Amino acid sequence: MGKNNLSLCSVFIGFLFFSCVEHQDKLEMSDTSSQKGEEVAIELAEGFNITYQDEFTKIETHSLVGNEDFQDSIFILHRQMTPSFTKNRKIVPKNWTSICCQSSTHLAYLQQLNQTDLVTGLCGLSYVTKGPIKDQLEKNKTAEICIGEAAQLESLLAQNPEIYFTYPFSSEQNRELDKKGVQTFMIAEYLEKTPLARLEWIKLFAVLFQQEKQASTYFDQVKKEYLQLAQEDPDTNKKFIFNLPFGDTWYAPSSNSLIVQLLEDAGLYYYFHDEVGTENMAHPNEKIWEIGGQVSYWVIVASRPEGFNLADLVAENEVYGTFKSVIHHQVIFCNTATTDYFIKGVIEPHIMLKDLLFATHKIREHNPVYFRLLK
Amino acid sequence: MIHQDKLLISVVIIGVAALFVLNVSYGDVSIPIADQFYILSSGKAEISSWSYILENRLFRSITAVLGGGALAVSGLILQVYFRNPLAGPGVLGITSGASLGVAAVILGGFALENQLTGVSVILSGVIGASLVLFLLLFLSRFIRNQVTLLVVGLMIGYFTAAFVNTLFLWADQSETRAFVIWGLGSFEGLDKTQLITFALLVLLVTFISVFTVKGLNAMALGHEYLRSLGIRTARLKLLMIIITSVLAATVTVYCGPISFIGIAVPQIIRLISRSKNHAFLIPACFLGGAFLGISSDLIVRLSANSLPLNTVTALVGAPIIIWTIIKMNRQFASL
Repeated sequence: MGKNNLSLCSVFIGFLFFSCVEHQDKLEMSDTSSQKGEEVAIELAEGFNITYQDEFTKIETHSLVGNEDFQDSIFILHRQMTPSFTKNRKIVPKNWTSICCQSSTHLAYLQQLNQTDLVTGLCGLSYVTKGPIKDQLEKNKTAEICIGEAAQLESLLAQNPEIYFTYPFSSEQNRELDKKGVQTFMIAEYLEKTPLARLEWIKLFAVLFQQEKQASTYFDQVKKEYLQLAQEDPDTNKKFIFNLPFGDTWYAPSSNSLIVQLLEDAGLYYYFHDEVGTENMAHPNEKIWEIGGQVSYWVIVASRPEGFNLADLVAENEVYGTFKSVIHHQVIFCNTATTDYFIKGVIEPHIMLKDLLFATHKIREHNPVYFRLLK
Repeated sequence: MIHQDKLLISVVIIGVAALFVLNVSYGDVSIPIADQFYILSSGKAEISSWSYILENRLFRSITAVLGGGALAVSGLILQVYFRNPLAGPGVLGITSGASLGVAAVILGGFALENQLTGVSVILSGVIGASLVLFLLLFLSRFIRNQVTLLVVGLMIGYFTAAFVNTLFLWADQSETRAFVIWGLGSFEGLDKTQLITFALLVLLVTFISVFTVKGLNAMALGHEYLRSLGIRTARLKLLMIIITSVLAATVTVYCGPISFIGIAVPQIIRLISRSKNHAFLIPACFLGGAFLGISSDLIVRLSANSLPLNTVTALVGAPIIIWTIIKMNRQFASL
């Protein structure tokens, strides 16, 4: 190696050495203490705990039985704490300026608490359907921060979020982001066992924004309405299958999934009622085609053009014309392209339940929002 | 045709027929054999879904036979054209070109909006495949080394894949879903009209390929020999491009990008028969491709669809390609 090459190498190594920047935690610089809010009681949700202390409130999220193990926690300080306490703990600020979300589902809770104006970055921005939330995001100039579901560090850092709400299944990436100054917090509301338990996660968000009373009032009101409407036992004469095939395979949710709970609360009986699990079950198409001839209802949640009808469904595959549900016009459909199923639907399980009861003729007066019978 | 070749053809025909019957009669839903005969003869079934189930099995079996055959013939012609045993629609980027054409239509948002979708998808797939092949032919003027040409083909494949990825990121959810399903590769899902179009295209173009037999035999002995026979090289080459593009694009459009059949089958046939006569090699490769196609589909179904088609074809095809590379390496070393 020549002298010139050696010099160049030395300069390059020197550059690398000095370019190791000392990173400063931005939360260390701001005042993080806030007044202790009204304590909230958790009734149904199993995926998070709130611990109240004089000095701080700790919010912890964790896995449920049967899921991949994870645990995460975040602290709201009520007085200035020592650096030894704040070191390696996630502390949320007193005054929020910026939030990023990995899932559009998180927006539902934020909207109910009037906090969507804080959302500056979102994964899958283009998938948010038209409506007030989309309008607010446009007003915020919210940025797309992901490619696919993977957050892009620079895009995230550019938003300078005080918190980045994430799914738990990217925990490795979350740890990396935490190291690089993006404070993450795992939200796993979709692992809850009932729609009401999922709704109760609004209390977690409420604690972060000191809106406990508003959240509790909303939760109690929805819970009351939901429980009044919910059927005691599913009717075995009203069996249903769920969804559409993906290629050669028909993925059916396990019977303990949220959507099946909602549908069984409406008095329908899941054909795969005894198949419990944490993952979707894969069935060959021809098996479901045979079952389709026997069950009364078929519930579909899918993205289709506006005005999608039974004839369009049968045009997708002629065999659907042999389904009992199609013959008797008992296909219950939620069009995710035209409804806010994935966002607002999360905090409106009572309206979804009402839709389903109306579709199954249990109630007579109702204007459907999410689910309706295909005509 | 020598005795060994006749035997080979007979065995493959029997094998394809047996697998075809098995693929139609076997499934997750058990339909009694008597009912199967009754449904296939009268179209009526005791349980209404059975006729659709049986029709679906029949259609996918026909698609597997024709699709596998088409890819194998396409691969055989390309291997003669480029005088390279590793040439095939997948390796040379022709499948990627067809994918780009399909992506432009599906991810471009036209998939559900007009009746011409089928035609537009086929046309765009054929155009994409042909463009890649023409580009490859143009570049081959400047490249003498066979392996380099294959690398160029792979690069073209990556290049078109980059465009496809960009379209994918811009597309909306329902379009990407349709494209992802298509990209997994499957012989399932063709309706009657699509199957008729698919079958007509494959059978017609495979039949036309018979007219290239003389040229292919001569080309296999070298371009000088080809000219000495007075064969119009330009016309022959154009015909070969059209045949390979239409066959590869038709299968890619209807079944998704299916790898390895195009390269592996001609190698296996050459290994068993050692015939240099394309009057034998074309039908033998078609039948060999049909055998690999239907057996792969049967494995997919036996696995309850847990193994995608491309995984199965790769498990069979990749070892054969590695073996071919080792063989080529030995030949080069002995020169």
